[in-house]
Amino acid sequence: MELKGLTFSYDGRIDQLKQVEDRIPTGQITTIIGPNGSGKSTLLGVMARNLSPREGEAVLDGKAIIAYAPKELARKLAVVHQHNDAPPDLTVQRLVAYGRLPHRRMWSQQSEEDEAAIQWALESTRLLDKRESRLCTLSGGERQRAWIAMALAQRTKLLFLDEPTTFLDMYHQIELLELIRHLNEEHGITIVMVLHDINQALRYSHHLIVMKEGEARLSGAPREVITSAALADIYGVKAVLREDDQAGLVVLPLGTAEAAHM
Amino acid sequence: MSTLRTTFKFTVVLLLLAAAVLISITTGSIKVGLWELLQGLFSGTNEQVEVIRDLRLPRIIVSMLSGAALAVSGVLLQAVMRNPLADAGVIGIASGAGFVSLLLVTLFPAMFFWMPLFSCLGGALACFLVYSLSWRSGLQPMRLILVGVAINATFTGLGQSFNYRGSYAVTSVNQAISSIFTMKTWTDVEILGIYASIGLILSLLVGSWCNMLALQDKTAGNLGMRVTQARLLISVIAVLLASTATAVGGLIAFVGLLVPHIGRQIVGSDHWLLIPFSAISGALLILVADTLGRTILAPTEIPASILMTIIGGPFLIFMLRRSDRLHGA
Repeated sequence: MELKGLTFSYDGRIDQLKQVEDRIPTGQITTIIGPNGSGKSTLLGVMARNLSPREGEAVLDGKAIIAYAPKELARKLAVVHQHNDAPPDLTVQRLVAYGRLPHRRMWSQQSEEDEAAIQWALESTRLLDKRESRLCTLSGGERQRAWIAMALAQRTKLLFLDEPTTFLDMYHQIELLELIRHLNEEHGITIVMVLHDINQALRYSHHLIVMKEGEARLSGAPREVITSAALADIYGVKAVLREDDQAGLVVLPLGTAEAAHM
Repeated sequence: MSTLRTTFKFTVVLLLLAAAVLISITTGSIKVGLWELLQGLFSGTNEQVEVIRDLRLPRIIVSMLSGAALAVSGVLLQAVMRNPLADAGVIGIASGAGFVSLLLVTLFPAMFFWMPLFSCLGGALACFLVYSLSWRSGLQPMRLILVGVAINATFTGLGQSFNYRGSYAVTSVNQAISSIFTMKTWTDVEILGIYASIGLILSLLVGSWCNMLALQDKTAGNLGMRVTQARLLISVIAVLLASTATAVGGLIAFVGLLVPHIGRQIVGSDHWLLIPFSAISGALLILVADTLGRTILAPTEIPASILMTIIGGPFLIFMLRRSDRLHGA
């Protein structure tokens, strides 16, 4: 996917995205990071066609995403939102089956292909034994995996996740990020996600887009992009970077940049 | 939910409806036995049965169709507005339908037969107002209900102001709109039968859209659904159902609130089941309300709409309290 001069505004006056240009590398994990209100989720929303850009376009396989029919786009691109809503009695199986709608006609029955895709999505997210459970009975981590399973059932090559770890504890955050890495490595799914934790972004991404004030200030491989100077500029934080044998490159925040100058 | 359990639930409610029809048809000021009734219906020689066929039978059919239409319109409105409190009576669609048909029939009395159509215009106007006034970057549950209540009050007030003009035509039309199911004829059955059947059949086809709208607009959109078009079409069906039921059967509030809520408890939130179940249950509820209304204090009649208001008012309070807990308002 290519992002060509994406500009977006909620009210027509102040631009939340300003001329964002980038290229999402196929078959890799791209993470969008940046401070609160920097336009991370807005960028993902425009890329997923949930929001319409005022200027510019996102191009997927040589075609602007606005030119795709809704179902055609849903067969290429799946999205897991930060906030999800579903009736409390919805079962995991039924939720995941919704992921097959882009492949089905309105009143058609579920095909064998649909069954296989649902089975695969449940297996990949380790939810097979929970398929008959109601969503309201699942833990936060399981529920998040159920929404990912729905997106996987769409069988797309591209998966967008908006802050997938936000409401999870540390164990479930790591579990989810390992799952995302597995989906990328084993099934070749191109991932684009928004994360808050810079160390998680460093560890699990091949490509970073660093947002500030609606602009994509930096873009590239994590090790090239994340420097002490960049962290001070983007986040206003004084931090050091340490290389660890097991964890790789790690950011250690020391304090705010203002405090460092006092 | 297993198919067996679902079949059982549908069978029970269908049997209850059949029993209610039999009881309703055989009780009242004229009492006939079932066998006598069946014989009379086919032979056409029994005078009492003739009266039942001309007066009671249309009344029964109109009350069932009204109940089914109002209940299903409630299910559809709740899906489209993502709010369990949305009901054609509560948010002003029914009173909008009543007022506009009253207004147009007063201005053009010769067009009485088109009343259901005028009703739909009024219902659509009210629905549009509720939507546009409560939309603020998304539908907010409490705001929608408050706007709906205000619109309902406005249209109800406007409708009532016609009462004081004293013209015979207006009074008779007003009675037709706000009245009970007495004096319903086979013409009413025909009108409501056509419009309500179209609405009910269409509603059965949009079950999967209603299910998708329960997720969230953006999620439904990402699954390839044309959200705005689906929402518009479902709203049109809901307005058609509520408006024609109001035009023929009169204003009955709370059916669209009570029935879908109970339906969700029994068959769950899957609209493929909830819509037909609500149609049958709505028909049952109004038929029972109307039969009770005309028998418990006979010869005085208590309109089904009044019985429904007595049950529905407290129920709305109960739902609002639940909704407060759900939305933290």
